Amino acid sequence: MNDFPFVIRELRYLFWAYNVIWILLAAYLGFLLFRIQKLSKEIRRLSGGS
Amino acid sequence: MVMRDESLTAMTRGSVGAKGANHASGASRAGAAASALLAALAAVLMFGAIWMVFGGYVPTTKRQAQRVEVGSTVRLKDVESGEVLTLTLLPSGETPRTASEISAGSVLGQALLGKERTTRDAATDRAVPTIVEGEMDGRARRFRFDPDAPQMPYDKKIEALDMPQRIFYFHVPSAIITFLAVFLVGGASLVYILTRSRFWDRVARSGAELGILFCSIVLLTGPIWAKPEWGHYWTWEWRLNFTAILWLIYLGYNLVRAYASSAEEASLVSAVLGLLAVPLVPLVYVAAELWEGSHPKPTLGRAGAQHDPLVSNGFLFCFLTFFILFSALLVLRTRLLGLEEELERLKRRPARAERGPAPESAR
Repeated sequence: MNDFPFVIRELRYLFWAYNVIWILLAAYLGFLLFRIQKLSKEIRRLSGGS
Repeated sequence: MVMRDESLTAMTRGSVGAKGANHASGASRAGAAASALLAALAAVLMFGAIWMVFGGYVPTTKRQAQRVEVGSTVRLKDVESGEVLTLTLLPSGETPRTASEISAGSVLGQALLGKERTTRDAATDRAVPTIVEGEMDGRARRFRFDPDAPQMPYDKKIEALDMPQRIFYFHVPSAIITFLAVFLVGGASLVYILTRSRFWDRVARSGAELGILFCSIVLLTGPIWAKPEWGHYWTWEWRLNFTAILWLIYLGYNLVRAYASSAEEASLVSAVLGLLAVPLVPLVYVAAELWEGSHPKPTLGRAGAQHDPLVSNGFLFCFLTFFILFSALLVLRTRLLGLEEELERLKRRPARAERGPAPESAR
């Protein structure tokens, strides 16, 4: 049985309260990957690498 | 003393394609690919976990939410005398220490175990409190569950109980990951104190940042559940207090890292803080059992505790997702700290050395 529609309709705030955790963690994960790429390029440039 | 362990540092090292360091560069590229793969796996699992919790895999929690299990606290009203009792069900074999505890093996405990708090009244289609009969104080008594609970339509009542209960799939894995992070930081801090290895210092720092992140999730999701269940966001009981103290220690740890004037001093002071936080983990774990409070007692893995297999599977999947996510974040953050240190070193390098080979990354 899928009770998803009821959850969305009546208890929207709890659905988002829980899933904002995933959204923030995924955003942090993306931020770390972006920073690593950026710093890697910077280090390659400073050390004269390709 | 410098730790040299290529296999351990491959994914987390900060060096990138420097001239004359082809082996290190290859290991670094492999590490980058492995950490990206780990991050992708974590992202896929997150979608899987959302589906499991909200998409229909664990619908039985609707009934689970109102079923009495070992560890449940029930409010009963004696049908004849009107006396109201609040009882916590202990695993069978455990001896109650206070009047508010009852063994699952006792006559009343057996009668309560597995019962649903409300029953559908066929005539009105409303949720009415379940009547339970059991022996207490040497005489047979009849009790009614949750006498003050609102009498709403049955399905509505079940749904209303269901949603707050789903915090279980976020709150408990986050708490276990916090414990793992505290142990990791403690271990890495100890190795740093003994060896002064930069690698283990970075691991400890990454672990502490993730520790406060997951501990914050625990402290935010708990009140979301507590408000509809207890009627208030917070109680000053020891399990909650120790968790708050752990969060404050980690806040101090991260502030020392961020604002200390000397990096070496910051590493040493925060390593001591990382070690000091370790004893709080067993204290948080046993606090709900040692001292009275509203927080549910741990039941996973306990004798006599019954869990719906779908609930157990859902929980294990969510825990696995949090664990992979924590591992991915730890690897990436440690790697990023390594890169930041290397960049700092390159920027401070004298101009004449810029044309020579790049220094090998510190471990």
